[in-house]
Amino acid sequence: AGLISRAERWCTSRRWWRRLRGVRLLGLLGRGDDVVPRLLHDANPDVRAEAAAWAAGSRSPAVVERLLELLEDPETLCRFAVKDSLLRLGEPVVDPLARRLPILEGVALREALTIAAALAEPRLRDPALALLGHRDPAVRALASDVVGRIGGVAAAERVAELLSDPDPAPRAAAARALGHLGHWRTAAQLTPLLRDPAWDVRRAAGVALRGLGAPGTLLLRRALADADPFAADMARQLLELPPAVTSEELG
Amino acid sequence: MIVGLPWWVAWTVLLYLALVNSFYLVLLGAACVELRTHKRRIWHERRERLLGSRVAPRLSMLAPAFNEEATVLESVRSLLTLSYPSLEIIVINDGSGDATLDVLRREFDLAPIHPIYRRQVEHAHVRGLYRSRQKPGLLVVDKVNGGKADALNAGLDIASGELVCAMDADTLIEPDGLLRMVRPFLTREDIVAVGGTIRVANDCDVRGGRVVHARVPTRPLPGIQVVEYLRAFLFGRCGWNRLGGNLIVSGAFGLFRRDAVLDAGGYVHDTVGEDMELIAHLRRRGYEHGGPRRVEFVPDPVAWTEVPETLRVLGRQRDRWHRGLADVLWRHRDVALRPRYGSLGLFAYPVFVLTELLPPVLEIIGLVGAAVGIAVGALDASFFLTFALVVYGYGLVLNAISLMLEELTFPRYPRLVDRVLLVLWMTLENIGYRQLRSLWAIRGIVKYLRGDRAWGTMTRGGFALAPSEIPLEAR
Repeated sequence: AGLISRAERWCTSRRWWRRLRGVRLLGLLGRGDDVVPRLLHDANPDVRAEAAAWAAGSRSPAVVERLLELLEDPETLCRFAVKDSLLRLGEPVVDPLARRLPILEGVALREALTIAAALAEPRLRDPALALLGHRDPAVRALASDVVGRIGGVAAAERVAELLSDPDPAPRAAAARALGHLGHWRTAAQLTPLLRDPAWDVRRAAGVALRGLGAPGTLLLRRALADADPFAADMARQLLELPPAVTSEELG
Repeated sequence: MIVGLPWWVAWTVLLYLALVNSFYLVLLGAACVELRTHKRRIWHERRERLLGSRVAPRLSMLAPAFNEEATVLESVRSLLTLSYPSLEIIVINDGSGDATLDVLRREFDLAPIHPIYRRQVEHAHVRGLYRSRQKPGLLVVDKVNGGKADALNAGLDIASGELVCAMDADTLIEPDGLLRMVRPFLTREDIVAVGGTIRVANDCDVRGGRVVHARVPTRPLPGIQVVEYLRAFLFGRCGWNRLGGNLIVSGAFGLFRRDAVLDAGGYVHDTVGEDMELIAHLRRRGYEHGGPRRVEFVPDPVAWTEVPETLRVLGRQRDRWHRGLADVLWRHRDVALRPRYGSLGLFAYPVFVLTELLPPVLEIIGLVGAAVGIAVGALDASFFLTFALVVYGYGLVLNAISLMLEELTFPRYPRLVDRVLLVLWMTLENIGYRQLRSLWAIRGIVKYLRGDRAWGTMTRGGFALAPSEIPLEAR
């Protein structure tokens, strides 16, 4: 009890390193529900980050909301701690995250989509689908990742639209997503990407085709005779792989 | 005091000494502030939380190996016990003529793999890629010999981590070293490389690839190097964190942002200072292209390495270090004093020239000049003696403060006898060893000017085996 009260006193100290010690100690002891949430607003980034890490053990809706607000924190360490805690919390984060995705922007939106992809909850599909048309290519790519992990036929058709995105990142992400979704009807749309100027896109398209089974393998065999040497080379590399090599291994 | 010497020469020397020694004081002050802040930040930090994190950056260890059949198993077993989530260990067999690959294949049940990867940096042909069936995080790259830089480049291409850790084959990293070293990358997005502390493993009790008891060597040569390393890392590199970032990350233990290194073209082959060249290039590129460019040092993660025990081998090593330093400073000379390159051009580069490259030359010139001056009566011997005592005494004070910093922050030598030995070696460093180091540095500069690019041979005692001559490189 003496240790807990000392840690709680440290949490109100004017010195940042004492507040940091207080949060850490309370985290180790599994206490701090009364004092630590306030430190989620602390001026010092180390203290805020430590409070965010502590919050992984708190299921309070107010704490979850504050963590989601901290996705906009200017400090990298804080955002890292927040993402980690949100993923550890899991289920309580899904609905608040789904509500926030349509209104977030910038770094916060990208971080939120990373969390959504890791959670891969069906309730996050619709907000992610809405972001497939976002003006930021990084957001379109991340949204495609989310949709690819969650699945659904309608999702596949929307993601396939990104195969002709002007930016290579969404094109590659869309190819990967279609590979995960196993939507063989889009195989014919993936084949032209073997000639894409970006290596990442060519690879993603090739791996996705290989993962689609017989239809994809047939298209890869046809690509061996492609006039574009890069397309033919990518097809050759993928077809030479032993059958036991999985898409997971290829990444 | 000095008869016959133009007044401006004497004043230039005094001004130079005053500037350099004032800089060391500033560096020391910066190191103290940095260490205090760092200690406060990591107080009872729950690093083990990172082990269960799904957002921890993926990390690939790159361990080049050339004719390491005697020690590679111990090294790899040690790497496999490192604490880090999503850790990939890539051993690059750089065309070994001995049974290095066979030893690894048998011990770890290697199976051929066929990843589709993009070749982004220059390196010699890769003959095969293998993954261990027992330890899926272990990859082995078998390639044609090309040297350490070439092997690291091959590893860079294959690696799947966001971060890559370059190390020497005989480096022993402490189990939580990576968990500590990754911290700057979680804290700032402009970090491109991080270095950790290298400590001397000679005479330490090493079991199962771990230093279980640290001991200060009882022989002067490795013992003095313990003092040197403590000063360089705790004093020098910590201080540079506060003064605009480091220009060196040890090739034995450095963590890099992989995409930045690939964009910079990887390690260059035609220098013996490839680790310093990479850092200079990364920082410079950061200014030129607006990407990450900060290089930090973290004092608490530790890697242990064996240092030379003979004058011959130590001389070769220091000669090579200074050749590398001269080469890198010359390659990147156009950053000097240019505002476009910020703290790199306006501060780090000129300071490195003044405090790292020139001092050995000036010291030897000073000693020789003083001897001649005293002999011909142009220099008052008592004045010179007083001057020398002040200069070397100052060095002794800096050493003493470095040892105190070690004691107050991250002490590793609990025995009284080790502390006594440290004080002894600290005192003796300035008598003979320092002058030898300057001579080797000058030899290195002369060799550089003559175009010598050879690495030389390092005799290793090994942590558990009898000594053997193992050529590091054959160019």
